[in-house]
Amino acid sequence: MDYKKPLPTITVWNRPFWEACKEKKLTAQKCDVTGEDWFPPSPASPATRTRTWHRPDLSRRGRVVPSGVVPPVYYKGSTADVP
Amino acid sequence: MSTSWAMRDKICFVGVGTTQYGSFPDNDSYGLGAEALSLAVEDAGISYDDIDGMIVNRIPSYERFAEIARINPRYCLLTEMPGRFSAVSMMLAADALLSGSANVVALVYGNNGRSVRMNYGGGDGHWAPWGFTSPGAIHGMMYRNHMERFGTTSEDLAHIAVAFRKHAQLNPVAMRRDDMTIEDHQNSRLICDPLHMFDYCQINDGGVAWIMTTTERALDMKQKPVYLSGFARQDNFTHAAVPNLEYWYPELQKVSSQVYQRAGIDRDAVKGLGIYDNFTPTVLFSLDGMGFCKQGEGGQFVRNGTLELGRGRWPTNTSGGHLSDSYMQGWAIIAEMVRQVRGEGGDRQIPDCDVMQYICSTNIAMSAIFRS
Repeated sequence: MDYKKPLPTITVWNRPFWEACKEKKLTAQKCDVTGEDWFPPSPASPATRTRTWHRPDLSRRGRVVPSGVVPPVYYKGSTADVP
Repeated sequence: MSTSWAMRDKICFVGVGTTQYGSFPDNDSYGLGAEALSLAVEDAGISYDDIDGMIVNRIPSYERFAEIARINPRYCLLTEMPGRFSAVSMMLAADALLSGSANVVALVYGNNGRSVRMNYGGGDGHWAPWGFTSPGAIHGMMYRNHMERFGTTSEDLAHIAVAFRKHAQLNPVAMRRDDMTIEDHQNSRLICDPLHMFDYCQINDGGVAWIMTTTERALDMKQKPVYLSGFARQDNFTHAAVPNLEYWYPELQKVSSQVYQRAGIDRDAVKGLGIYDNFTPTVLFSLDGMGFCKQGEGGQFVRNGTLELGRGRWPTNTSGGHLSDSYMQGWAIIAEMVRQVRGEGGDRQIPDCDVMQYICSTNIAMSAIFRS
């Protein structure tokens, strides 16, 4: 495979997120009780600490709040991307 | 002058939680730990906001776990993976509570060793060229030495395995509940001669959590407190790279000389035992070392149902232990002891069980006494 950037470590909790990405969908988890949503994927709702959650598709629209630039090349695959 | 130990009865267990045990490929140690913790919090009748100390074990990252459980403690620790660290974690929590570093400590264990096919043995290491890499092989060699020195036998070990299996049959959530006889043990396949398969613990997924606090706080909480009356430990790392052919006997003797005195409780008052049983010989080493019998006589000692509930003087590992209930590395054995002292043992309850003793025979040799 030619892809040289790091790949995610797949866990039982984040697998559905990455599977959804393959289908061009963004997902998060949302608490059934409080409506709070969170990321990265977790086994439990941080509000109830139990499995009271579902995984809705997100709108794919968002606003960038902060951003950062990382000049050192940590991964060969990123060489062309850095300033 | 009073010689009472400063920590005697100062710390209590106020909640325990245990998940189902088995193979759960759709879960992991974070999820199992989180589930156990929510059960322990409910059992203790506290809120997550009451927790200001956290010790996690066998869970890869303390901060990720804290993020998942939404806990911002002022005391936090991730302890080492070997099973001796269950009771070490308990002792560290007691230290933290008594020093005021925390008021309520949640101790959380999660293990998905079965579904990720965790290998105990193989891999690299100093002994790999000889193929001598598993904890079972080390205990097999130690027991071979014990057999030649004291005349103990493989059949002595069978009595331990059968006693714990009988207890597991009284425990609806135990992993192994099918019948086992002495002959079954003797006919089970050799894994590392002289140890048979039935001398080995289970490997399973599961989670356990405990809530510990100071006695002062415990007395205002929902559950009848279970006092950590006394504990003692002695490490031996100077020959840790080779099988210990003294079976940690000198270390356990030292622990034995301290633990009852610290707790202010005589051995005669102890109603039942929890012994770290990664392999059956460890139970013999524990009984020898703590002076329940003369050194080398553990094999005779465990015959005639000595460790069996309803039969012997020293009902041990009433849940079925690591051999038949679940391999939760001491965490579930201690949870079981808390339940016994509370009188919640159900069909496997030790009558009038007001005092239990935990023993772990390893290079961190230790014992602890719990009372109601």
